[in-house]
Amino acid sequence: MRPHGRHRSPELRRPLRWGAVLGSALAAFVVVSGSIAGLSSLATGGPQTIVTKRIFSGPRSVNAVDVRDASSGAETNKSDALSFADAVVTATSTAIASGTNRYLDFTFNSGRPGGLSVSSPQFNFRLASAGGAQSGNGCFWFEVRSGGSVIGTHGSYAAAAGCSTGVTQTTISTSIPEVTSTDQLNGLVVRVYPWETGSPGKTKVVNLDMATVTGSTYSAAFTAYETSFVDDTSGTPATTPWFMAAVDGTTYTDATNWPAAVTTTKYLKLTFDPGVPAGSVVTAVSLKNVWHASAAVTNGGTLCYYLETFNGATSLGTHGSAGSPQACTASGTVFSTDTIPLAEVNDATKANNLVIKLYYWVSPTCGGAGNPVCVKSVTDQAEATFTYYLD
Amino acid sequence: MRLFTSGSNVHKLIASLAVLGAAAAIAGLGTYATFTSSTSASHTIATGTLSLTSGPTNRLGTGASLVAAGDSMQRAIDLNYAGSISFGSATLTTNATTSSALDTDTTDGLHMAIDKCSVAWTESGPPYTYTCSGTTSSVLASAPVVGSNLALSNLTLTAGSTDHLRVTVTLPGTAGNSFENLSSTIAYTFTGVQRAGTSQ
Repeated sequence: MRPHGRHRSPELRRPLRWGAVLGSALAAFVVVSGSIAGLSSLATGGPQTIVTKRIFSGPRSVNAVDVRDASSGAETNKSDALSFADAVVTATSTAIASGTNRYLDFTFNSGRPGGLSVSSPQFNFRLASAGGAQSGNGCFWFEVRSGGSVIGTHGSYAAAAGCSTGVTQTTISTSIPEVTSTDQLNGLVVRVYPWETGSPGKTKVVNLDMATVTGSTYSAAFTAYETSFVDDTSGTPATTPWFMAAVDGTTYTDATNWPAAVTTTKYLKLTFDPGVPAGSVVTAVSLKNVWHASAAVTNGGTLCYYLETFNGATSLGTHGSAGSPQACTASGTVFSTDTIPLAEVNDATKANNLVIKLYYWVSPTCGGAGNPVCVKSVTDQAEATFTYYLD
Repeated sequence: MRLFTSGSNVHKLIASLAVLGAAAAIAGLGTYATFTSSTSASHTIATGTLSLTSGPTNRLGTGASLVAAGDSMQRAIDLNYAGSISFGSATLTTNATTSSALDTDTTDGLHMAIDKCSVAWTESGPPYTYTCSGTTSSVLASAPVVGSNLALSNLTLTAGSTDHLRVTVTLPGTAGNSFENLSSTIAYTFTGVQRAGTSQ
């Protein structure tokens, strides 16, 4: 006779199994806990808060955007035609109608510290119809490009981002919120699709006065200026670098031969706009001047210069003098590259208002039989580098 | 009525099995215990104590601002070992109570290293820097600032002694502009564990 207990009812087997499982689990838990337990003690330190500077120290370079040529003794504005609303205009190479998909590319400088948030960025474009019989308005839409990619589109041929009224130059400022950081801003490209609304068959060229990007970082307003302009309105892109922007063979030759003796009324005047945030600690500023004479200086003469720095209109200091030039060259072909520390430019205000006058002359004299020939200067690049940080 | 009787038996069975399980567990524990006794004599077993504390020097609560790439911060802390049992090892666990790329980027973010002076560090500053008039040894090689159970080397660990540590936190020079204007808060927890079991 089999024991009664061997024939457990189903309702008895389930609790039995659960009891076995619970007991085993408890056993395993206690044994394992016992095997890893030990005495320990804790000591704490901190919390320790570490905050980094708002802007790390580093060099930021901008080229001169406002250039005045006073080689004749009277200033002439030779500034970048596309950087200021100054009625110095650049016409598109070709008359252009709506829907052609032909463009203008503006590449902007890289003068801002990287990694910063940008507030209120906008693209400022000033244009007008060049006018003429049955002319209309100058209109455009545009794309914003960063790192080779389109990051924003504003308007279309059907809905222009803006138009001038006839031949009256009109500035259209368009918010470009897709530009959120200075990493995008530095080297930003804006591709403008312009057109002129004149009567069919009478389409005209468009006059361009200004293309800039403005905004602010740490409450400091900045303007990014174009360093290269591509005109594709003909269907064949033509590139025009701003001559001061890079060592690229695109140069500026002053208007008049420099004098035989230095005078402070004859100079090249360079203005920079580095957009250094207020409160920044400026640790170094320097000027890079890449230049040579317009022709070989004969008979033992040399083309020389010294320079004076200004905080706006207030003189800060000089580098070199009539008796001790900053640099000289006799070459009419080989560029000299001078990097001149400007220790007197030592705060954000002075940096943002920096103006430099370069006083050129031919030493010891020029003109006349047996004397060195009088020459002009040829400038390939004028760039200021500002090293600063912001706590 | 039958159901009630049957349920009672079930409960008894579960209780019995649980008790058996617990008994088995305790028996199992016995196999790991340090002391066993099979005599009838009684004795008293008293466990020891161990205590790890920091101070009097503890600068780890002093933060740093306006940190730039390439900067480093030195902070000293004393670890005191007390109790009747010596420590066998110590580890450090750090965590960020306020987090940023400073503590999440293990390449260009903050790194820490710890070294020890055989005597108290001589402090100057702020900003704090420390020199050692005795001998120094490395406690922790450079590692990302947030880590778990990082083994610490060259500590004395002996009850009644003190280790004089200097924690150096560095923002690598490779940290780029994306590290500007960031903030992290780091909490440090040193854990001391008893020595290995011995015959008593």
